[in-house]
Amino acid sequence: MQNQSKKKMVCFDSQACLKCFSCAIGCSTENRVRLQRDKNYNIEKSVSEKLDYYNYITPVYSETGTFPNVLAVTALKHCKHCSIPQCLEICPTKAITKKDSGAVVIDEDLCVGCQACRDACPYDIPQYSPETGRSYKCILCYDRLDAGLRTACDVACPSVAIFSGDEDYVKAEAQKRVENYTKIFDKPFIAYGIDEINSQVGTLQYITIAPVENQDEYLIPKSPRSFTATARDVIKVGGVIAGAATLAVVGLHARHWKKNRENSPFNNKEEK
Amino acid sequence: MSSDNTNEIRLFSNMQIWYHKHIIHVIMFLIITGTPLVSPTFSWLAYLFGIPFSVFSGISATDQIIHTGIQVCRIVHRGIGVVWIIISIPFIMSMLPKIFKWDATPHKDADETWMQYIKDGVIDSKTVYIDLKYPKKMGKYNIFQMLVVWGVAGLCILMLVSGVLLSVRTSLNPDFAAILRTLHLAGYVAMLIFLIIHIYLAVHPINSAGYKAIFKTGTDTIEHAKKKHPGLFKNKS
Ligand code: SF4
Ligand code: SF4
Ligand code: SF4
Repeated sequence: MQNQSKKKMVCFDSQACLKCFSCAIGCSTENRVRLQRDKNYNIEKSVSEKLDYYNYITPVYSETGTFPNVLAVTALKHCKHCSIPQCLEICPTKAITKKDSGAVVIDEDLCVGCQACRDACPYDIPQYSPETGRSYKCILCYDRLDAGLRTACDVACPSVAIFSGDEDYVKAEAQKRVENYTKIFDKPFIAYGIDEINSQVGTLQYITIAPVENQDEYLIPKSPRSFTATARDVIKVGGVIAGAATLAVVGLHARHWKKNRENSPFNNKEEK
Repeated sequence: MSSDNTNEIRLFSNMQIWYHKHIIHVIMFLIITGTPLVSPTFSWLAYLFGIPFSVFSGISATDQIIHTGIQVCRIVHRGIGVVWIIISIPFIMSMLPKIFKWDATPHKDADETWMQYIKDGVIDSKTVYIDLKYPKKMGKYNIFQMLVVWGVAGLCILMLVSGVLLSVRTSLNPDFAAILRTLHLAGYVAMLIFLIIHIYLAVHPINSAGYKAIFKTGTDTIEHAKKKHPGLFKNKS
């Protein structure tokens, strides 16, 4: 199943999900183990503290339709690991990096908790903890994937609704499932994130299989955009153009002054 | 508008001179501490702020120095913001009572239409900045300066209010905080563009008397002011 390609991927298959939420428990548990490994926590401390900010995957329930045709949907909210991570592009401390595997990771030791990443994320993912003054999000279990292991949410899932590994393997499996669901349910399904979503997000390393008609309920909108990231781009381009135009006008005026100052009353001593 | 010296006319009060001097320092510090918070592109500036602290804390890795620099910038930026609010209080108190008589508030003659007032203002500005000659009607400020003064006052209020709210953003709705951040960023860019124009015109020979007045004496000679700012003397002769 695993080959040597560097790019890693995780897929959540909404149709295979049992709603047991073992993934959330698995994620939290793995992060507590990481504390033992990286932060000198003993086992007791790591399991007794609340540490809710270390749950990187959250079920979000919604209902759609009108009675009696109501559909209950549980989406999983987690970082999608965009190929164009807006969180990374805005983080002033460079606390967010993109690993070779495609994982977008916050280094919590470098985070100052400014929450710019949350503002810029089109999926509203990074969560700020007032307790620690830092922001947190899924790290695509990059340490596990790099070591040839599956992600903790994948390992915890009893129904293979989450599967992870090399990009080629995950893509192929996801596409196969999409074809099957499309045939069985006679409606289109999508492996959201394999193909480019838009110019602000790119493709994703944590993809989702869901019916096209319920994309919004599964928190995988057709063209997600962050107001902050969009406005930032506009301000950046507008600012550069306005700045250059201002400098040009100032330069032209200085030239105009130099050429014509001889006859200007502002050029004499009395003026000064 | 008077002066102790009968040959001079007062253009700026001591309070205006004091506030202007201090606001230069405040804005300068806000820009150099705020710029690294805008984007990782300016992390080199954060690095410079981090270096002195790295000497004491013993950190040496670049990313840690940047992290320290950003923390320094965040603290200093907020501190300077508070200083700005404090120094603005006496200034605003001194300006408020005469706000409607202020030279930056447009005053047209009773028999003049607004259209005519604006047209004359534009012609006067052209006379000064393009023809490089003395204006016919202009008071202390030309019509564009009036617009800029009020625009910048609004910009300063926007920056202060959004900045103060962003410092307590954990108590705000995240979407509202995101809008505030964007407004703060847009205001920062607008402020930079304003400063390019303001500094150029401030040091330009056309405004050399005004430069001396705002930084030193607060006054101009009546002889010069009558030529450069004839509108100031309209009701005084
Ligand atoms: S989903 Fe949000 S937090 Fe995750 S990589 Fe994309 S922009 Fe960053
Ligand atoms: S909250 Fe942390 S990770 Fe997010 S942008 Fe700020 S410093 Fe970077
Ligand atoms: S990939 Fe790892 S960090 Fe991300 S949600 Fe799954 S278990 Fe948590």
